Amino acid sequence: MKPGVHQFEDKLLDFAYGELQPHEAEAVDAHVRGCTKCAASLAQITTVRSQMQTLPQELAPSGGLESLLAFAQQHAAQVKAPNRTASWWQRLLVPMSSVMALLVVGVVAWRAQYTPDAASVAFRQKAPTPMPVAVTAAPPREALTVEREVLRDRLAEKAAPKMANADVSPPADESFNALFGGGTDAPREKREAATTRGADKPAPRADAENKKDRGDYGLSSRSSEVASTGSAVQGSGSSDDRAADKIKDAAPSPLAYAEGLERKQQTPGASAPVVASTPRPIGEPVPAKTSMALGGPAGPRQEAKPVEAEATGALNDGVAQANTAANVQAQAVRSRVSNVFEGQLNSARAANSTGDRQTEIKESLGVINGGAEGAARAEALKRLCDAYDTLGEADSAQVFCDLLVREFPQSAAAKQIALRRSALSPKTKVTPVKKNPAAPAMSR
Amino acid sequence: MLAYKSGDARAFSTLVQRHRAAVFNFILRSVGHRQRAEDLLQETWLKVVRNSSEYQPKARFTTWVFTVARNLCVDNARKERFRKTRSLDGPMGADDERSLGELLPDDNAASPERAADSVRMRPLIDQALSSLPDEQREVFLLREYQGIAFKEIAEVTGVNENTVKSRMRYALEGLRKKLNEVGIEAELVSPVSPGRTVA
Repeated sequence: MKPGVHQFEDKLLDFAYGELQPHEAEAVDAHVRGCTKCAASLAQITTVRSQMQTLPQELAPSGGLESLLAFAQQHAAQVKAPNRTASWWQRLLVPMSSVMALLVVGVVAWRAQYTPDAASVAFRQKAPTPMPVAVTAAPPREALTVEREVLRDRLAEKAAPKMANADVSPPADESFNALFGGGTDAPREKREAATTRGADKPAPRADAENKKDRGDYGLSSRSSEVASTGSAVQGSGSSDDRAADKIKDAAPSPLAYAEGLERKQQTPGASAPVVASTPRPIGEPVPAKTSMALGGPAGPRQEAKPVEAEATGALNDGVAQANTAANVQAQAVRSRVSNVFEGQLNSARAANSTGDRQTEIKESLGVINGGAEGAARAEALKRLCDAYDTLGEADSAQVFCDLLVREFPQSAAAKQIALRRSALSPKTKVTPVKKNPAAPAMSR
Repeated sequence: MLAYKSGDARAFSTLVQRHRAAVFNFILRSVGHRQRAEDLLQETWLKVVRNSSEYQPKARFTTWVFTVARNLCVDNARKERFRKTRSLDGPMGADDERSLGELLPDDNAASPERAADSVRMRPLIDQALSSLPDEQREVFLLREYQGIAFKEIAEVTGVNENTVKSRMRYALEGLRKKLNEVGIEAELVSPVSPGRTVA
């Protein structure tokens, strides 16, 4: 096959489909007319095309057309939308502002809920009864003391229901006493009732009688002290420091219960009187929860935490943790205190039986300094009174005897002492005082 | 398409009305299954909408939309490669015993006789078309039924123009042989001799 003869053979396809330029088409047409082979090839193409043209065009389905157009319209609207907005930061302005506002509200709410100051203020506002100290007019120290007292009340109220649910748990007041000491052991109603009375007026006898009937001699004494403290702060016009000291004195700590003697021995410089040293200032550290829960050795100072930090932490941890901590702490302190006091009293009894008065005095002082209440305190005072008397230390014996008579006037030992004194010296008369008198140092 | 790209929804409606049938026929001849062709048709236009922002006016819209449709057909062919292909002569479904060819309307029928011939020839033509390889069939469909030039077909299929023409020649030769095999003679279907019947 010569290339020049069928030079248009490659263009037959384009010629058949009309894709050649007019002059090219004329040239191919002229060639095909004179070339049988190219004419046959062109005929085959046109024949097949003719046959395939019998296949008709199908109608497109109508289904989905509306949804397609709707989608296209929506897409077109989205295409138009960015042109109306100015810039990306303006589009993000509204959602970002909303998020920031929510964050601010959340932070403020969180702080209002968990900040101790805000919590205490809110609690004071919610409190149904007025507090004995005016917080707004109080100096910082007093305000802090009252605030901590409120905090203790709150924790005690949280702890009370759970402890009441447990069969082995004492009432809320007792659990609170075990947790925070006996200074605020009197119910709030009684303290407030005492607050309304005069500053020099002691707690009513019926109140003390009720306490005594429950065997709560030490508590009744302290309740009157707390009542008088509140009255003094509010109505007597005494100095702020004195008021704060009274409140502090009225709030013994669990450490005083369980670790009182050991603490005194570790801090010989603290020559607090017998009764005044029993309560714990609120700022003093308290035993760690874990050591008490595990029943570890009594009174490791390293495990103690400041009450303020503990209270703040408890609030921050939430009510649930506060309840749990209160329960654990109260139970641990109760068990430890009872064990320590019982052991010391047993030692004192054994020393008494062997005639070792010094040991008896030491163990009894440990019970007193530990903040014992009720029968344990009465027995310790009686042993101190007798032991000092036996040793011939009349002054010391008189101090403890006076305490015994004053704090437990209805006890047999007190009556016996009163009778003995009246027999020896009819002019001697023991009068109850409103505040713990200065007592000899307990540490030996 | 440029008008729709700028946000004119009515322009898209115009495009759909203009090209929808052609695209559907191309897809239908390519996949040989009506329901699948309808799905691919919808998918094609959805893709056109989604990718409208990427449309460049360098090529005609027809070229672009058939490129989209062709790619979808290729993907579908890959998916259906291991699936049993139903014959065009086979029943369309459990409720419809008619074949696809019998369901196709005959708009070009000029007379009852021609319509009858067309109905008889249609399955054979479909069979011949289906016998072509995919790359030849798509070129033939685009050129013969959609009127797209070889140069544009080259853009659609992604090959050069000479390859397209070569595939076209092979397709025409294959169709001619297949039609002869099934007994369709050229003179019977010649437009100049509409009265002739299929042998």
